[in-house]
Amino acid sequence: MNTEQTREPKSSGNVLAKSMGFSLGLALLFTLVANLLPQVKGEAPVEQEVDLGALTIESFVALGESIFTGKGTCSLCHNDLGRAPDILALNMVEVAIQHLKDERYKGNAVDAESYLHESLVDPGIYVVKDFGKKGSNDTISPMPAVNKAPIELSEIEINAVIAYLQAKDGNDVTVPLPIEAPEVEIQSAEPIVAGTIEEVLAKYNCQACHKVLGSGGDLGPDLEQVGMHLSPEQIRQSIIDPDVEITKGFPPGVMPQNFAEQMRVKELDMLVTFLVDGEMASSEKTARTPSPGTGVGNSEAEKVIAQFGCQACHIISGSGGELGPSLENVGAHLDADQIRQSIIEPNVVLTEGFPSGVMPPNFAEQMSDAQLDALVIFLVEQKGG
Amino acid sequence: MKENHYSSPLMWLTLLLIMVLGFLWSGTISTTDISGEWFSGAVASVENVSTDTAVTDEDAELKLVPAPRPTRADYPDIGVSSRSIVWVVAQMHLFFGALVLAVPLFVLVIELLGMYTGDSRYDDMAHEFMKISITAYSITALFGGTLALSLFLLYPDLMAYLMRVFGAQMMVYAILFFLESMVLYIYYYGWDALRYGNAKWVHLSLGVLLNGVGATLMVTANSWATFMMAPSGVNEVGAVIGNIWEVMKGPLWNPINLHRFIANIAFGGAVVGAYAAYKCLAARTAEARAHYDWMGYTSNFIAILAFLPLPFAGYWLMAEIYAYSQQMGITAMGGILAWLFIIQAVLIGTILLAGNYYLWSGMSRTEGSKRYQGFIKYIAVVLVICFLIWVTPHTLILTSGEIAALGGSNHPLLGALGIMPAKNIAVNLMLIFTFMSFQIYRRSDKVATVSWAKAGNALMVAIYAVAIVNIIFVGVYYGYFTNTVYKVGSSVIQVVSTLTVIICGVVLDAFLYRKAKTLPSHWGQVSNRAQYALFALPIAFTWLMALMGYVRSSVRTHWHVYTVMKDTSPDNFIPTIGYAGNMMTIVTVMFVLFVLFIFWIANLSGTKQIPPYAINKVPATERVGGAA
Repeated sequence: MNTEQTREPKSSGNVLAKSMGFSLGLALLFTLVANLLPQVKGEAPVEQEVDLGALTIESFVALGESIFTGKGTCSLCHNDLGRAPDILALNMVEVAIQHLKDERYKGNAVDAESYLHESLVDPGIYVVKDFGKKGSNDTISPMPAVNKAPIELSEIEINAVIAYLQAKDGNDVTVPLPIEAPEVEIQSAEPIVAGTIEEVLAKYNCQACHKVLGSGGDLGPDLEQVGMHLSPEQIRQSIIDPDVEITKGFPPGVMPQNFAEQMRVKELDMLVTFLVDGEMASSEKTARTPSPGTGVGNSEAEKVIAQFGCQACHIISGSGGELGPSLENVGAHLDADQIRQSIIEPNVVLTEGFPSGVMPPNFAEQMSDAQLDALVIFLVEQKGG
Repeated sequence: MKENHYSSPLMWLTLLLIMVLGFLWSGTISTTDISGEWFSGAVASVENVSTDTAVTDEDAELKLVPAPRPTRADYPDIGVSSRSIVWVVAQMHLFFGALVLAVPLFVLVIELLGMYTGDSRYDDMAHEFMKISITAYSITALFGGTLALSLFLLYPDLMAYLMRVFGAQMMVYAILFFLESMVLYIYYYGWDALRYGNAKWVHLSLGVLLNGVGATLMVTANSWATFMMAPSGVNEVGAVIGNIWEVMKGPLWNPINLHRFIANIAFGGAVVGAYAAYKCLAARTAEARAHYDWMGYTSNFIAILAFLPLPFAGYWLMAEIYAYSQQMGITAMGGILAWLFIIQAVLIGTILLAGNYYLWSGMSRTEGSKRYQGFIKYIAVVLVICFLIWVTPHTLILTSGEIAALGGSNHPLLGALGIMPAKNIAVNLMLIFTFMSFQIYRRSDKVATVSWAKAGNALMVAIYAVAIVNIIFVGVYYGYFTNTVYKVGSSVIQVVSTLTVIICGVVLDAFLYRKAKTLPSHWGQVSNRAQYALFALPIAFTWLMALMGYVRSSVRTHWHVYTVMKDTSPDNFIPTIGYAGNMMTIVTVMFVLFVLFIFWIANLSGTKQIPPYAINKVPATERVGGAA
């Protein structure tokens, strides 16, 4: 190997050219390798525009599948490489039922759908054996909550994934189709939630079939005196599940079955109250009249406010404490997202002049989604007058 | 030149270990000190808000503020991809930053060796290394300034947020930079003034101070990068809720600190090795060739010695990434970035093959090497087989026809060799056999004289045999016949086996070759091809640094600061591997050109023009001035 050492030394220019040529050639060789490999571009997740009006179960399931392999990044771990349970090879409804029976299960789910939802937003509640974080003895899940960063799936997207997980093995899809996106509702120029009983009747076209407030069709029963015959619970059931009990002389299957999904809680309450009372109710009376207990008119929100003691610190509908900011006019300053965040993460953005750490940070765990929705809707409407 | 003057690997390792510990200590102390209350304006405000009920207007201003949420329109558009600009400038800054942090580290070790052995050539070589570092330092600062301006111009919201999070720590960084500059210039320009006696201790102390400040600078800047990968000290929306220490000590901070520290040394060694190779090839005298051959050998020694533990630091870093976020880990190792590790295998394979080739070629310097030359072909075969296993992909992107012809997306052979257990076996064997090359090179000019020489050799062979069998058995058994948990655990046993061979080899040889008979050795008696191996090393190292830096940064995907601040810029996608590879070549070539400029400057400083009045008295052959 030492044959060259006796040769005449080369000039600096020659050495420079050779060493540069060698270096450049080697760098280009590495570039060539990079360009020979599969060329894949990783796009940032894009919010998909979903036409909720045109959504079918099939397209909802397809949306779930695209989220599973795309934005949700589920297939990164849930594949056949042993990183996480191979969801594509498992019937997840059967697996869910099996896990619900496991004595290690400590969650609140009651069926496959709620189990799947729970496992997506709080994966640590039940960790599949041998898939826990290293050293945690299967008590900590390495999976991130999909409704938080970095994945940040919306409730509709989570339901779409559940629909996909149910449908892929031929199971019934039990998650409801979304009918309205909350954000759109809030930003709409139209009244988001009907404020008066007339608006409720018009919005859902009740008078097309029923006589009420002195006018309407006769395809369905007359509702002028319905409160005399039915209890509030029966009226509520006949709206949300109309074919369970049919008024004599009227055929089943005529009244739409989806009012439970379409109506807001406030609207349903307003309609039931109106029909029970059997008299015309003004918007002030039904929607704004403070109830004795809380000073709040929305009965669902009223329950939430009472249950969680909001008025101990906040002024709501004319009464309450002053430890926290008054919520009389909160809808004029904050949108629905901000109000929601200030309930579930009260210390992230503080109102000027009020200290952090006072409001309990655990409402997200204590309130159900329905309760939170009702409270947010109510507060959005608090615009001072 | 006597080999045994610089043939104490145990001492090298000990000194390296001391410096690692010193670095970690200095990092800890410095960051602890800067977590004082004066330092964390935002933090103090948080504490005030949470504890004082009587809140003043001034306090109210200091409430928790979430990370910004810029829209695409908030990113300035200058007509060129902002990411590409920052990519190039940041990478150049990092290349030169790594070089100027690493060179003083091994310069200090070489200076200490010079003092220990009394051999002035060490001192001269250390001084010459610093000559390279001093110009590189200016270029580092220039690129650093350009990077800061680019970031403030192109990513104003991100920079505003980082300024808010790190606050006065940024000013500490600036102050440290001044301190680094002052100590560096005194250390370099005071070399000859503080060369002997007690003055040398002053100079060595300056070297320690220089490295302490440099390491602190590095860990400070590292905290910005690791905060962006795994933010700590902030809440879910990015509002600062911890003090500066809590912000800095994220889960990835120390793994990155260690990985960069070791990688910097390997990188620095490789770059100065190229300098020595260039000078060796262009040398006009036998003495100069011998000197630069020795300098190249020393540089290669430093680069490979630092390189050997680097994969283990990499393991730790990836383990911490997985522990922080499995999703992030899989994005890097099993997701869209996974193919980059095939290129990594090519690069590391190049480094190991070049390093081994240089050692084998260098054996021609000594007459005693004939005893070991028979091993080389076997080592080469093992290295090539392991390299091929390492670059084997697990899956291929195929057409449906190709899948049908193959009988599945995994080729029966590629499927087995493409997974981590096979690669772990290959990597560990490559490291063990590289160490074997190193060991036989070191032994080639010596004959052991101790009475237990045969037994010692037998022990060394046994250690190799047990380690190799263990690595293969553990890799095959746990990798293919048990589940994933054991698969991961088995790599630890393999790493321990490899480290055992290296440590036992170094320690055993230190005793085995005590008072050894030294055979004749001739510096400069080496092929020119061997010098090109020294060019291959820095090119592969530079490309590798660009590649791994890109992977580290890209695991954040579409987040500026993972989970708290989204990247909504037009460049918030992960580009194709080809595009990334082109960028890496651009920065590598730019770096090479700048390094050539540095080499030229280093030469220029030793060039003296002959005075006009003397030109007629000087023979024609000596009229062109220049240092050999």
